Amino acid sequence: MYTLSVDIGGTFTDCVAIDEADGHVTTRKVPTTQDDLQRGVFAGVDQIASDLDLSTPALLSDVSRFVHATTQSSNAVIAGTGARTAVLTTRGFGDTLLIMRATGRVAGLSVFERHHYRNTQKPVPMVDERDIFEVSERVDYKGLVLVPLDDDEIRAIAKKIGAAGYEAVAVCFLFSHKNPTHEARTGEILREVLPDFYVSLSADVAPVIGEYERSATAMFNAYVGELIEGYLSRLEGSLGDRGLAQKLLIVQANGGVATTAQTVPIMTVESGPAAGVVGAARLAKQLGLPNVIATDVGGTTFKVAVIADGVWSYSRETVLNQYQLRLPMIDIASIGAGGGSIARIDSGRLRVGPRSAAADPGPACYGLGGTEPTVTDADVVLGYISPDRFLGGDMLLDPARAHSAIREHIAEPLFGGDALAAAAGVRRVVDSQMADLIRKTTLERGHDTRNFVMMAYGGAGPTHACSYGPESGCSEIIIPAVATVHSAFGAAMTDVRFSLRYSDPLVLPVPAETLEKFFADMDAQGRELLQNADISDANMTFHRWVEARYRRQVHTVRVAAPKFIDDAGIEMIAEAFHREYERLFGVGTGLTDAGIELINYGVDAVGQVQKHAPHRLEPQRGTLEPRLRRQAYCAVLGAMVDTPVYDGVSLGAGAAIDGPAVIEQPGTTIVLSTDQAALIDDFGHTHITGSDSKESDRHA
Amino acid sequence: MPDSPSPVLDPVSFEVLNHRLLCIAEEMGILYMRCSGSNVLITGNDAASAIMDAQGALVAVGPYIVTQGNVLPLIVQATIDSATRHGGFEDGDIFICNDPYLGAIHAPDFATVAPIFHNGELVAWVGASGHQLDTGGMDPGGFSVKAVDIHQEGLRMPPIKLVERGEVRGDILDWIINQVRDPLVGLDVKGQIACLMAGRERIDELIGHWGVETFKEAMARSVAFAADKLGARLDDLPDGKWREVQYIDHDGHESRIYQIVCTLTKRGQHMTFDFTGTSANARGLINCTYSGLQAAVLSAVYINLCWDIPWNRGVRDCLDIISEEGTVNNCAYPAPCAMATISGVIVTIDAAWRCLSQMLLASETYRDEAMAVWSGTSLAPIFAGTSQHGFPFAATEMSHFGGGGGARTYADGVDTAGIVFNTTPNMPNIEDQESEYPVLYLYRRHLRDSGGPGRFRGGRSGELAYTVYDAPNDDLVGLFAGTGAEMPNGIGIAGGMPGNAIRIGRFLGTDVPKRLANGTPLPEALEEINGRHEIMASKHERGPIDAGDVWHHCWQAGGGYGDPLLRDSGACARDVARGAVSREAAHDIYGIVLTDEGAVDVGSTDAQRQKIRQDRLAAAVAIDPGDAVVSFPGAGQLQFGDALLVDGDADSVACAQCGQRHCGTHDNLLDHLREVRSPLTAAGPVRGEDYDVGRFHLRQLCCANCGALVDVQVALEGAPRPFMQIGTP
Repeated sequence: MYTLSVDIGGTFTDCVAIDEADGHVTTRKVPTTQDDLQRGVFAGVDQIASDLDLSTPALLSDVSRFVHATTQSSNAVIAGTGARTAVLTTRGFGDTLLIMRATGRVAGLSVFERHHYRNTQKPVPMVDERDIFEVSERVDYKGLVLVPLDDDEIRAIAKKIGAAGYEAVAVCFLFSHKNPTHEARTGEILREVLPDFYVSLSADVAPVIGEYERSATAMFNAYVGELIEGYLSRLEGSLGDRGLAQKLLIVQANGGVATTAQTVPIMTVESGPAAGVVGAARLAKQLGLPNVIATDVGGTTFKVAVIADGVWSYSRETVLNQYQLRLPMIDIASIGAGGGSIARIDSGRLRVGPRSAAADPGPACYGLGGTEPTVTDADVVLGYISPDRFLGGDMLLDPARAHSAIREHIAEPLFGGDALAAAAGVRRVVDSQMADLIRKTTLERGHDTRNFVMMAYGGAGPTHACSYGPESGCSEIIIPAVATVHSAFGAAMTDVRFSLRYSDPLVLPVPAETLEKFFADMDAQGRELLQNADISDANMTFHRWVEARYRRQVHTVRVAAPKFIDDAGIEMIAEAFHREYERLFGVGTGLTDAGIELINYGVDAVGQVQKHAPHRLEPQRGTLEPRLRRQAYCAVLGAMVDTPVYDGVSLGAGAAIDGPAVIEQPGTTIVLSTDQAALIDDFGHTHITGSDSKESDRHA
Repeated sequence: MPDSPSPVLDPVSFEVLNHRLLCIAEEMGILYMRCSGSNVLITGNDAASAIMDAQGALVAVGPYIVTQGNVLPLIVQATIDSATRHGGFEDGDIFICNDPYLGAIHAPDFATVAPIFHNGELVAWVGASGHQLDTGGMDPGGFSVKAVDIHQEGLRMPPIKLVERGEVRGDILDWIINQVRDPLVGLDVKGQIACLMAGRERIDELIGHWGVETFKEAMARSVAFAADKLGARLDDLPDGKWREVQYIDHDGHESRIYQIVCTLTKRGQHMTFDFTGTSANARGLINCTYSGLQAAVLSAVYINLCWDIPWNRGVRDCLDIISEEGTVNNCAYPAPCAMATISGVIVTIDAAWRCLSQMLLASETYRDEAMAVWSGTSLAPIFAGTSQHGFPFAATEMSHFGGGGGARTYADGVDTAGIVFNTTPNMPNIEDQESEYPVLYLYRRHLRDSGGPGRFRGGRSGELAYTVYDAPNDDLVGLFAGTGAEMPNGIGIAGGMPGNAIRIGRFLGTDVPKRLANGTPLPEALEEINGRHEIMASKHERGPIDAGDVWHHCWQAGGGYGDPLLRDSGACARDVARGAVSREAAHDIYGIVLTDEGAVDVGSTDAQRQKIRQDRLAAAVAIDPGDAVVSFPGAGQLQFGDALLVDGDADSVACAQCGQRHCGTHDNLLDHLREVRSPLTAAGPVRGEDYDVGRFHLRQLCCANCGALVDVQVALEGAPRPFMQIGTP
């Protein structure tokens, strides 16, 4: 039996098949087919099948688990192809989605972008005043109805919406997370009057305090709802036609999977990167490492997630098209830096990114019309990337174009025509930006990079980790065996997971029964969802958590809550909160006399899937022979030096390689600098150590 | 790199070090805010963290509130002066200071600075500053509307040694905590200590890795880069002289008007901001000291000219400030200044801003960077009492952080865009407000007709109303400190009109409690609220908010760009459909006639626009320019907005609309234009009419031939006129 997983990214669709008997992994990368994503999925599955000497139906009928991550929802938002959506709000507050708490002008922008006031603006509204219908109803902060809902008013609005050519409706009333009855009744009427409409209720998709973020979440869900549901059911149908007997599992932003029927459409957003973090956590566990910093370098963005004590954290907020959403989403920080980042001279300074040549036209060396020098061009000039092995040889690079782009735009204006120094400079500037993001991200989450091992994946991660890793303070770097399809690999490992949430700000002391009821209700919902996903009771686990703060202080901190809440349980929550607060913010930083306020409550209902033992690599036999030797840049000497280039797939367990060296894996290149050493472990992962040297020496 | 002098820092190492310095400044800010946990600091970003060189020159500043970082160099200077007289300073020391006469903007901004030594040599300073919730003045919260001198505004610390050679002086900390009402202040000060200690550690590491000379060179290079780049940009911008006048209404004691006059002279790579003509300092809290004045000028320059230039000392090196002590934006001891940030400082930004946008407009290269003035003021609507949770509280209603953005030369201003000195604006959710405080909001929405009319409209502001709800002790009180009720400050450019003014009021004894009891729908607009309506002064002392009372206020929007008669009629129809502009304003100000279905009636619109131009010409009178000269000596070829065409070769300044030649480039254009004097409401409702005592009017300068608007100003009787002279005579 196989676990099959497909992750659709912006440029490539990655496929991974794991043979459950021996843990053997087969991978494939095919171009993403933007016009019809399914085509790319089947192209990948067909190729995997052929690699395994199977027909596609034979492979699919032998699949015990088919996991899928898709960018469909982000694509729809960026391309504006979602449904024409109407929104219902509480009377007096119809402008909430346009005011965007004012932050909408700069949400998701870097400091430098925010400094350019004139150039900042809110996104073109996905719904504007003409699409927003105010409803006479009001609920207070306790959930008490102050102005009852009038069915006739809703019916009249529904008819108006039906006549006006809308396709979807989102409903967000004030305090619906406390009392969802008005939204629920509105939903009933809408579904009755508008049976073909996708209807999204805010208390269903984001049952937490904060009307702007809850409205935005409901609006996006309505906007992509029909599209995602349609896509997933078509895909599941096509897969079934070709022999898949199992339910299709869809990766969610929370780092879990759910069936297509259970998938809340907007929860598929950024699910690929989430799966990458899950994969990193899974590898870390296999290797016995509690603390890992997961780094992913793609074409345009550099992503960082912190896994501490084996667990990742969740972000409070997700920014999508400058709207702020409340989704239970894995906390991933990012900056605009990657292989496609463009280098330029700014009044005598060398600047790299955040502008990216992306995949189209791509770096100059792609020969697709890009003329500006990028980070990938610098890597080619420095001799790290083999022009005939890029992306496993599927794309032939043109080193002459890389050279001339670097020479013309960077070397001549700033380096006296020295293209090598210019390329090394570009690389060092972008690597130091990545190292700075890693340090900042780790610090903000209350950790010290020196206690972490770094994991680097994505097309360009293994090429740059040798410099940003040590510079950020990590002493060991691990390049996963399947680094270029890491998210698809992570998806295959992903448990079924439902993140249930509830908001009710309460200042301690609180009766234990009140809290226990919150949790028991969520436990019951979670159990039902897991049962619907065919998870047996034995494989179910329930993780309760609370988000709390000291009154009068703004930082909320999430801590685990016990399985049953009695007075002692509340005491435990308070103590855990206090400890975690001091760990994060420093001893004595909590205004303890002001009291603890519990704000949000949640249960992560997890359905453990069986994890198969990973495939073990044959030991390295005989002496290591490089595939070839060529000139590559050594930063210590500031010159090209004779460097061995190894074929990664030929290396056995225990193979040890000293830098300087280049190890080519299918789809990516690992660079070792002069003072580093690499060791291939039993599972094919590359461990890089050494070079605790001063950062000023760390050029490559 | 070995620890040896590096006279020349290579460009790559500089880039790496410079990025690291910015990151350290940001990380210092993160540590500070983590420890403090204060809402004002985190939600409002009302803090700063910075790295300075040995002389205190600003090198790298964290991405927080724009104005605060600029004060730290002054605090370093004051610390050096004070320590020189009192036994010096050593490695490991940290000094605290909040004296507005020694560098702080107002007393609530506590700042700390720490010298960094390397082998006994002073090599740098790190600093932090943040807005405190209380200073121990006559009123809690720091805004004492009735204060007449700074001593009533609470604690005023000269530079005091808070940490001595690495040891926190507990006696000093206790003394500070003793002076203030809020225990969060103690945590905040500890946060600054942690932040400075971490900054020092990071810089020590940096010096350890790179060597002290390289570190010093990187700092010097960072400052020089900003000065060089801004210098080169100024070289590209036209030389000239611009004067703007802005106003503050009400000083906390009486409804007096204070004027801020800013004259910008730009020659080559240098700018001079001259504030001669500014009113004498006020009796009440609206003043700012020199630190506020400098922060204001720098903020205007950063935003308008330095979008891609580091905000550091290099910018300051490109400009001079001329100002007489004893004026409202450079007040003399012991004048109070608690409200400096949201009166003296922000209104100074407005005046400097329009000088700069007029300069940008006159440049072919940079025309698109010009913006009308954003929401010209900020507010402090404070309510206090006992919450539904049984706790005493005092809270500032922060919705006004959604001020309207100024219009651009190619697009409307951003609706609810933010307040200019905050790079990351942040309005609270209604649900958070109501869960925390005993209030119930009736509405919060964009204010119709608030954006300054123009070819491109100013960004909209908002309005809100709330009532008491679930207040256990019925002891809710309200206090208000705002600016810009009698006149708007968000001024337009190139014929664009001003946005709205603020308005504060209350309805006493409404039927809201009855509606709540009966479950009847609540009022959703000002016009639907019954009860006795009172308009309240822009600064008022605390007064009770009783059950059934409804309080309301609105804040300022952005100014417009270009004559509103040039607005695309479809865009205007869309504004009406979206409720951004009323049908009346569309008709009267934009000259747009709509059918009942909301479509543009093209024929009637043309006629209405022609009629407005004719009405302007009929009402227009010759201008008495006083000392004001608008001229373009040596300006070459230039199109100024949609208003003027300047041709130096032909010695002609002409109307860009009808082509009529006004005059030669050396002549005073004001002698050849005409002006219409109208009430401020000619720019729309809520332009100060509820506060009008006949002092202000709208001054519309227009073409004598076709009536096209050239400039629209908010004019005070007897105040100097704005002007511009572009080119060098």
